[in-house]
Amino acid sequence: MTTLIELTDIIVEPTRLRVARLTLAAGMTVVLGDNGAGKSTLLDVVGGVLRPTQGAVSLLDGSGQTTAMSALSPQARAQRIASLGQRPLAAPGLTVEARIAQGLMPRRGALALGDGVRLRARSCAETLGIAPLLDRPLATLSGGELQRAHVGRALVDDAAEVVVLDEPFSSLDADASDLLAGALVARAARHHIVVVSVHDLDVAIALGGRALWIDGGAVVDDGPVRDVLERRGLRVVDDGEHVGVLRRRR
Amino acid sequence: MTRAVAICIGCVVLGTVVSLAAGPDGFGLPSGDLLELRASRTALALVVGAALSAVGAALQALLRNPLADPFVLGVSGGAALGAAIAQAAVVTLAVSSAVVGLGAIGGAAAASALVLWFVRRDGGGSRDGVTGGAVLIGVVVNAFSWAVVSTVRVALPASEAQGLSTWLIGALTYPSTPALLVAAVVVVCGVVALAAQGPALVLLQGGDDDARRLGVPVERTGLIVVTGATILTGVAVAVTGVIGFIGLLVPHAVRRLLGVDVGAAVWASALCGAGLLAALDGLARAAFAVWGTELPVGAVCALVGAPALAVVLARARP
Repeated sequence: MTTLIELTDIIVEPTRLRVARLTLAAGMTVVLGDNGAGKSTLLDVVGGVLRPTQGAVSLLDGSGQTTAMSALSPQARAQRIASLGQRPLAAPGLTVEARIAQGLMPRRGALALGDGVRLRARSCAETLGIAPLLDRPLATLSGGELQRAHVGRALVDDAAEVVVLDEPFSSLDADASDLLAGALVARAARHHIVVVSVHDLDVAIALGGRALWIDGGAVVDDGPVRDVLERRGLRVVDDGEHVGVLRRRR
Repeated sequence: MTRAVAICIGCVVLGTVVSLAAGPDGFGLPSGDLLELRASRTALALVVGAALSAVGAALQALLRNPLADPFVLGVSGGAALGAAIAQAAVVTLAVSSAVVGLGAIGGAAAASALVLWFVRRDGGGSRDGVTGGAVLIGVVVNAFSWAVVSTVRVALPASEAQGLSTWLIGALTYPSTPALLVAAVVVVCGVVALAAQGPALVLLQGGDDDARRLGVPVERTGLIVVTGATILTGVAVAVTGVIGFIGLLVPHAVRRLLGVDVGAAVWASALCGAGLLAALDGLARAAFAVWGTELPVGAVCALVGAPALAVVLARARP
């Protein structure tokens, strides 16, 4: 089981991401920053779908064995790391069930929707609140429903030890966001490495855990979510019943 | 799935029967030498129809382009260009006729490389980016092939020039047994290789990025499919000339039966395309017998396929 991901001396051209050293441990890591700061590039490097121009990404497992990301075959990497890009696409003729089941293909190697696969897809869809949509083609879904079907593809394989999601909360309403946040927190609680970029700072608070603030292609702050937000001049208000982030008036 | 298998097998059986039985004197199973000749021509139709249809199914999935077909993309045109130049070399330089097949594969490879270059330039994984450039380069390659083959025809003696027309409008003939066997073996291997990429091609329909995240070796898959498509198209053109649209029509029909399973669609397209081309060849032979001639099957495919392409285009861009 992967317990750590280490990034060392990373440089990515032409986005100019620079990371001297970064270790991602089991649990939740929220990636924050403005548009164009380099969040997606960092997530692509962590997810193994973007090979850095320079530097190394390593996966450490519980027995202390280190594996270079570049040494993994695409399939072996996909079995260990379930990732989703910022603007995912899928064949519009796929049903929600088939789309979610695609997340099992790295491990199963085929699309056949057997009973076991259907059960897993349904369970994942229930977690995300889209079980009633399982038979619907993707082309008929709203933006938020489609986004949840894509996220379901990334979450369906429980055996993937690392989950990397780039802005999975975009297009989601409050209820759908709460369901997804709950699913991700539960995944992190099972000692999986969960790395998620978000723009909505209230969502970041809900996810909790560790935050990385990215600016200009570098990690400029690192720590517990609330601490990082407050160091960035934001105020976290929590009266026990309501919680939210207040921005300073400009 | 059982229904789809039955339909595919039915297509092959029906096409074979029509192709064997249709002749100038109407329908009836011939005997003796005529049966042997018809059988070899039917086998050629099955092999070529399978090759072009399987290639269409795989290319449509790889390029996420419903118009992808070896003819529309210019791969067949490139193969015809290579074959015609090689044929001219055979006539004028007295080199071995084996170079015709190599010329066809070389021409198909050059056209495939051009298509891929345009696809990559237009954005590769983007759904919008792949549709325009690839089809436009097909128009360019096909026009260029017509021009070059016509030029070569003019330069050759009249007695030799007639044969070059074959490369522009495909026609099924009576092949030699070795040529038929080589084509059959290559096509079967090619279809197996294309169908084996099915799971990866399903994921590639969501774009390169999502497929890569799901563990698909995107570049390797593309290389295998394009190489297979190039070889199959080259072989098909080398033995019959350019037969258009069959690789467009059959996969579209098959997808209605099988949905998104690309591996099954490649197999089903190969079987249905084999049967359809054999049947069309038989019907073309019988329909024009009254004038003492027969219509090349390439012309029949174009008569059916061109309007169908217009329909697909109209639906693709509402």
